Amino acid sequence: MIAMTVCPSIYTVALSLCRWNLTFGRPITFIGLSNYQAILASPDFWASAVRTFWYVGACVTVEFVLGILIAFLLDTEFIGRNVVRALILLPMVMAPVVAGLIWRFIFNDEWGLANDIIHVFGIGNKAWLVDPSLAFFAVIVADVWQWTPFIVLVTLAGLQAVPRELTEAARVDGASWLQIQRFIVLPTIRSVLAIGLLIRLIDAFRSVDQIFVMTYGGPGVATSVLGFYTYLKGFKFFDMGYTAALGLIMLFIISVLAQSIIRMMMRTKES
Amino acid sequence: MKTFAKYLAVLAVMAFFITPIIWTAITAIKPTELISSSPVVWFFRPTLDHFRVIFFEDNILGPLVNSTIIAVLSTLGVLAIAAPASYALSRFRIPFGSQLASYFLSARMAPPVTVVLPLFLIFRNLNLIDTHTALIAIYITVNMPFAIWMIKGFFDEIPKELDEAALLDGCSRFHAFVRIILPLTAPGLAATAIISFIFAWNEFLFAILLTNFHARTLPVAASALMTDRMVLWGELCATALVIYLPVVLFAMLVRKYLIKGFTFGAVVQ
Repeated sequence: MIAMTVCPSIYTVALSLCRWNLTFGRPITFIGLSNYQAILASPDFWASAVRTFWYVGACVTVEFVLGILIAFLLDTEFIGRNVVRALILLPMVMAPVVAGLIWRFIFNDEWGLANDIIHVFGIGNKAWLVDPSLAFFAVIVADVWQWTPFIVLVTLAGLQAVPRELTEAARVDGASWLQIQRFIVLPTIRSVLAIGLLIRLIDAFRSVDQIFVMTYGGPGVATSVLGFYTYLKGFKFFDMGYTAALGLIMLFIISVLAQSIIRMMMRTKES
Repeated sequence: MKTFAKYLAVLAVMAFFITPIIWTAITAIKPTELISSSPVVWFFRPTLDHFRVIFFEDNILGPLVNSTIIAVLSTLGVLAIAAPASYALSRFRIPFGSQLASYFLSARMAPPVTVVLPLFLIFRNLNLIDTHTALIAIYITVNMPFAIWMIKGFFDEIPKELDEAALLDGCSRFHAFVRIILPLTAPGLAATAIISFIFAWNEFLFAILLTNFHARTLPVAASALMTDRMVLWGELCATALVIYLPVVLFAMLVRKYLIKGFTFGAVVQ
């Protein structure tokens, strides 16, 4: 365990301080912090970082809003509830690569399902994965499809811990539905939601698989988020030192994000 | 009226999440000439042609065998290490034991691209690129944190007095663990194993970078059906089903534990 995690980490840190490009066969040379300087001065990196910010922000926000609403819906009584609650987990166990391929198929501009659906609303064919902003939209839809069920299930698990007697009593005392959610349900499920948020943020930030098969970062660089950008640098251009430094910068950003969420969780627990 | 709206909402939710899966299944048995017709054809005479092609012409059997070997062996490896480790974490005071959680979490945060780079270089030096061994070792490592955390949760639920009674009766620690604790937590262990299997089975990035022919796994084989010029959608959907069906079966078996596995045991369903 330690051999497989600590050694690569040290190796990565060391690599990030060196110049080593596998394609040129030049020897490794120590160059200090030059890789980091190069990255921070690169407009490509900043463009990709901004793109990642919007991608992660959009994915996680939509997944949370949709996921929580759906969880409230599935928490009520209706016929077929158990079947629906079992089926909803199907997207999240699909291999992300397979999900990406299927969505690429759905968004095919000649005979994909997406165009058939917008025809119903009287809109003509769209070149989903060819138009940069539509492609960006498409990869977000694919991520939302795959991971909203995760938020649904996490929220449902949290809702089970809500004391029914308390909500009943509040209703009898004349509290509105919204008040019950605000003052009884939300405080109970808050910590569970925070864990869901933490995991989704980390995973959306690191995701590569879906974009790899759906758009390969394209068209142009329209969907080249940091995870994919790093992959390209490492395994298309074999610029090892640069890639290692990029990865460490990503790790740093994620850690800061995660720490702030964890601290928020701790604070709400105390209060 | 209100109930009607509710059922409509449930239907809409299901339509969004299930349609892509159904569409894949339908495309997998659709004749090639109808796949690229627009609007989409929903009624046709089903064919098993795509499955015949992927099994007998494209030879998906190789990747299928590879994926099975790698997922099964890595899962066994995870269990063999995680079970005793979580028992120790659950029963003894381990130095830095409480810090392990944050260490595990930080391992999860690392972008896989960062981890795969040094591993790629290390495995290249060891001549382990494109072998089962490399992927098995990686999946054991990647799945270990969640497995230890999940199994520890199951062990924590069993009262310590049970092991102590066994020890008093002259059982050794090892025997108490193997004969009493393990059987009691068998369902939890099985769930952990299945989830770890799913993670290994679905993994793509490590697999595509560390294999090329000999140890190629199913997700890599699926992505290879997509070439620059054209995509073989029928074959692709058939392959997708081959990858997906076992996972669906397993996921339904461990439905109760799935969220626990996906959240490192932090959320109990």
